[in-house]
Amino acid sequence: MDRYLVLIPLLPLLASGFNLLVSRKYFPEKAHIFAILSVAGSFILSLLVFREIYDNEGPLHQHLWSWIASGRFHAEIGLFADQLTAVMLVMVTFVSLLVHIYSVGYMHGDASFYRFFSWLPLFVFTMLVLVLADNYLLIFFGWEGVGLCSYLLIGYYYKRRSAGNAAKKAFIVNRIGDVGFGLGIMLIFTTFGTISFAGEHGVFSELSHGDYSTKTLTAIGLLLFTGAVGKSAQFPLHVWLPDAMEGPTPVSALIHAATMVTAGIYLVARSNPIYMQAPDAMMVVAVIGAFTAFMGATIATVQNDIKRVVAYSTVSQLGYMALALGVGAWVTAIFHLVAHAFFKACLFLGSGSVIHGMHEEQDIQKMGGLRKFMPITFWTFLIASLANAGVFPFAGFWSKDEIITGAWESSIFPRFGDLLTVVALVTAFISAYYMFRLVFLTFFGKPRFDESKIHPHESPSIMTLPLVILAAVTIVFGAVGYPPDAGRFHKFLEPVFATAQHHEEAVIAETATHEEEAGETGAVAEAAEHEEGHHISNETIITFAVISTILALGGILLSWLVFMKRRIDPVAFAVDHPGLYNFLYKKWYIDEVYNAEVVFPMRRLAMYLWQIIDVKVIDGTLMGVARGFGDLSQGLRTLQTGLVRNYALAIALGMVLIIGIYFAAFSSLFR
Amino acid sequence: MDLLNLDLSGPQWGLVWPQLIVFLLAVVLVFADAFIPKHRSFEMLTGISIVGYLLALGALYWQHDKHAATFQGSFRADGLTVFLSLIILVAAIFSVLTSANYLKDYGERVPIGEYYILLAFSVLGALLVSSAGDLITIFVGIELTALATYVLTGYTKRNAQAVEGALKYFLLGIFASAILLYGMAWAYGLSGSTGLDNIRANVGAAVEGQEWFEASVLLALLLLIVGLGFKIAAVPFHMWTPDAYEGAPTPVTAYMSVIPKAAGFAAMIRLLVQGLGPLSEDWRWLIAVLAVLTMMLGNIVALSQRNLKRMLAYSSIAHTGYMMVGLAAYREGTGFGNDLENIIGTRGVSALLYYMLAYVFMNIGAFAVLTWIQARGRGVTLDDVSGLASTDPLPAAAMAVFMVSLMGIPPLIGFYAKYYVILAAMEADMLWLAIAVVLASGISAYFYLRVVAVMYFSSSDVTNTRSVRTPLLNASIILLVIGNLVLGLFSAGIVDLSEDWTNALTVAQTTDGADAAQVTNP
Repeated sequence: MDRYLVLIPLLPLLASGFNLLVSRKYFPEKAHIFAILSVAGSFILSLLVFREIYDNEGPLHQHLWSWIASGRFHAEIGLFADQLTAVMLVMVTFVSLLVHIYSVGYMHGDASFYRFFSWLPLFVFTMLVLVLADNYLLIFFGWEGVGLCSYLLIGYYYKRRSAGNAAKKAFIVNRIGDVGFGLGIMLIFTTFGTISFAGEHGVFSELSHGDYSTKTLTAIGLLLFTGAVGKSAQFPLHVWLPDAMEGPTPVSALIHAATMVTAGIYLVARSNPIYMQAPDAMMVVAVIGAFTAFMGATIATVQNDIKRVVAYSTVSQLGYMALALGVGAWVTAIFHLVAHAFFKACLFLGSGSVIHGMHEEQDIQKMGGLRKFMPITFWTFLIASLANAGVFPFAGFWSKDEIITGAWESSIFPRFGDLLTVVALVTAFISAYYMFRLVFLTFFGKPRFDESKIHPHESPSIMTLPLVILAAVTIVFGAVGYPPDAGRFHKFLEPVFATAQHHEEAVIAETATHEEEAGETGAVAEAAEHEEGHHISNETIITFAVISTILALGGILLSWLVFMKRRIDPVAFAVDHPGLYNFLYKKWYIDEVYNAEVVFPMRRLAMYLWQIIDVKVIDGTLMGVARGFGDLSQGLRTLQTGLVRNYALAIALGMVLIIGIYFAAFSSLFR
Repeated sequence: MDLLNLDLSGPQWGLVWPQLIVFLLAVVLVFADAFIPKHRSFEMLTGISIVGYLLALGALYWQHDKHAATFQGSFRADGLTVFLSLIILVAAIFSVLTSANYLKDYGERVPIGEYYILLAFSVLGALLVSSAGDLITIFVGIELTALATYVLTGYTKRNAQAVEGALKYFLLGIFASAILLYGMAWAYGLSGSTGLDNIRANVGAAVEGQEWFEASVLLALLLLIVGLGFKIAAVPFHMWTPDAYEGAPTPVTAYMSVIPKAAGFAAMIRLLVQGLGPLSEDWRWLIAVLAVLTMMLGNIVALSQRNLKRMLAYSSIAHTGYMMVGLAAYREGTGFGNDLENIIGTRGVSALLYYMLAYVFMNIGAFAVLTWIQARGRGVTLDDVSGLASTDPLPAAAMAVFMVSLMGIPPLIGFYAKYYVILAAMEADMLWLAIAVVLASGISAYFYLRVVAVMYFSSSDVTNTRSVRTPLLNASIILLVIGNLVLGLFSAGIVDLSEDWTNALTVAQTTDGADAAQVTNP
């Protein structure tokens, strides 16, 4: 199987190239066929890879070729698949396949249909390279590739000015994170002498053998996380994600919910051995994650654009994942990542279906009562919303619950853990509230649109089928994570984080010995649990499960009271508290702050650099130098007289000059 | 490793196959030309040539792990031989592909057979230099290449410009050959042997402490550099280049910008590194200074050329300069001896070798497109390619690839070539030389990009006046474009292969009769 790894990313690349070069001209209406077939092929291959790894547990490795070899620096093109990769592969190709199928209906009749189905497989290719890479540079290639595809697809409707601006914003904001990532790779190279993480001489095995300073590892961790902050839309670089909703909705579902934005989470999880030795970096990850989760959720409560609500919900959920990473609950982070991919893709595709049915209307204040017009969309959307709100027994419940217990039980920084848990719980409440605000305003109540003009209709089956599949997966996916922290999913992924787990257990063992002095029985019981492999007591799990369920139901209840029963009038509340409302509605004024503090001064500086430094100093110098070389060239060409005797003279003179200088300067004969 | 056994009764013919095949090819071509009827001769001779060179390439693969010498050490099958031969044979194949359609077009007025025969002998000469372990072999090889090239330059003998170029080339060539031979005579006189390994051993042992001897060795060294400087077109011995390049038929220019230059560099590596390596501290500064002069003058004068063949002539001078940087980065430590541990700059020669291979793909490519344009009745000035992209998009795109590659932009092969050269200069602590390469490349961007700009952004006022089919030429251009795009990405493997050249020095140990146990297989 390892010899066929390359096919997984290659198939979408071929489809993309084919559509761009051939389909465009000869059958632009049929471009989707090649795209879907290629992604389906990748999906099947990914399943095979998954099965092989599930059976054998050994990672697969395929070395393709050496790209650059220069001194100690070796840039290899190699693919690597372990359990983490296998999970990501299946998730990415599965969601991609469904989104491709959905897009056939959604993009039907678009003027540049082939262009959409050229960029989308290209995105899948780069995403798969990112996931399959066996070294940081190749990850970076995939990383930049998905960034480029994201840019192209956000700006897909390039004739719309706002789409163009959103695309540029996404690209530029990501660039800031990428600088950090790039520096991180350089620091990895100077520290470990390699950029490959897998294999015998990879970063991770170096890390387990050698002794590296915590400061360096913390710096690497923070730099890599800077990249993740950009790509995974963490505060303060989250601003691009909501704007990215300018792209077609399937793109939002695939790139800006399920796959690309999770690349940062994947990167940090992949680098877990580095983080485990850099607790300070992990704390930063956890704090940023918790803050992002809270901030995203609060903003989502007042937005009126259906896609924006879902987008801020994505920001918030990504914050949860980062929080899980930061507290060392690695498997949980990936569990939530995959669960989130399914239900968030479902939510986005559902929003797309609503927008499609409502003739491009996106404002939820102008919807309502859609339940009876589009039942399939409604039911699938409801299931995904329940998952996002964290209601039992949907996928999101299990993973979110684990994050909360993970934060509570985190052995890395016990004091912070409690605070983070509280933030996570509050966010869970808000999540349930905003999710059901969306559901109630969209699907319940009386229609608030002009029913004589707009006739909502259910989307064609090619669009509802992916919705149904995703909803079904959302329902059952939680099962692989049962029982919490020891489910199949955890057992499967454990080897990837084995080193991390060891470290953590060592810390716990240390605390256990301390406790032993206090009370022997408790320590013994706990030690017995360690041997079983899960160190969170059942009491804790159940307690938090109950608390978070109550909070989620409370959020739903509040939202029901506000938007269905109208016990509290939201408009009156907003009028009474204009400060709070505007703060949330204007997204914490972050864009305004950036405009005033970053963009505007940068623009002034750019104007200065352009008009004074560039035009006068640099251009002036350059033109002068260029003119100088031109004159020199004209002068020197006159040496070429065309006469053989002059040429011969040049040779003879050259010879005499060289020998003369050498003898005069270097030989001791004439001294 | 199967070591050389000096007690062998006769030469080991088994080692010589690639060179032998090219010799046989030349002989076969002579007879084929005489006996094949005129109307079939084009197809037959082209086919025989390509098959011959391909066979030689195959034999080269077989030769590549032999690492041995024969004919009393005057023929060497070591890593250097193999890589240089690879460069030359690849260049030969592309030369045939590039010139075939041109010849057919010209077929009424010039004899096709002679062209292929001269080409084969010229290639043979270059191969001999590459595999030479002896001054005599080097000289014979160089002259064989040069004599065939003189004739090829004036091949279209009714064209006054071609004849003028050929004559200039010839007159100056024999002048330089005389200087080279004089240098060789000094080297022989001082060391008492024409064998490179003996020269290395004797000169190395004797030079310490004897002033007159040191001066004489220096004289020999400088004369050799001057003589070979002409062959590779280094400043100030470059003056024949623009006239000869411009005068020669374009496919011949493609060929002569590569193979005789490769032969010249082969001789330089053999003489300076293998023979006079212990004097590297004496010669590498001269090479470095000449390299800077060469790349600067080549690039600066190229700025004001409107004739593309002349422009490419100056550009090829500049590339000679870049390649010399690789040579200048070669350093042997003090303390004479054949110990590989003493050598710091082996990567410089590897970089030079890789550069030459890259240069084959870039330069023959550029001339191939010019041939394509000329075959359609256009001239070779900037005005003639104006708006080419709108009338003939594919050749224009190919030309753009070659220009950008010559300029050294990633991911094309020219970038990697320059990269390795710069790296070698920096590893040899010659940062200024690396900076010079970068500056020179900066200057060169102007005239390379001007071609691209003119092709793409100017309106087309010149059109093709003839329509011909040139399948072989097209194939050659396509292969060269692919080479430019792909070989850079796989540069690591190629550089690994080129680093085998160092066993040219270890094979030398066995020829000296040194203790066999010291020999290591790099």
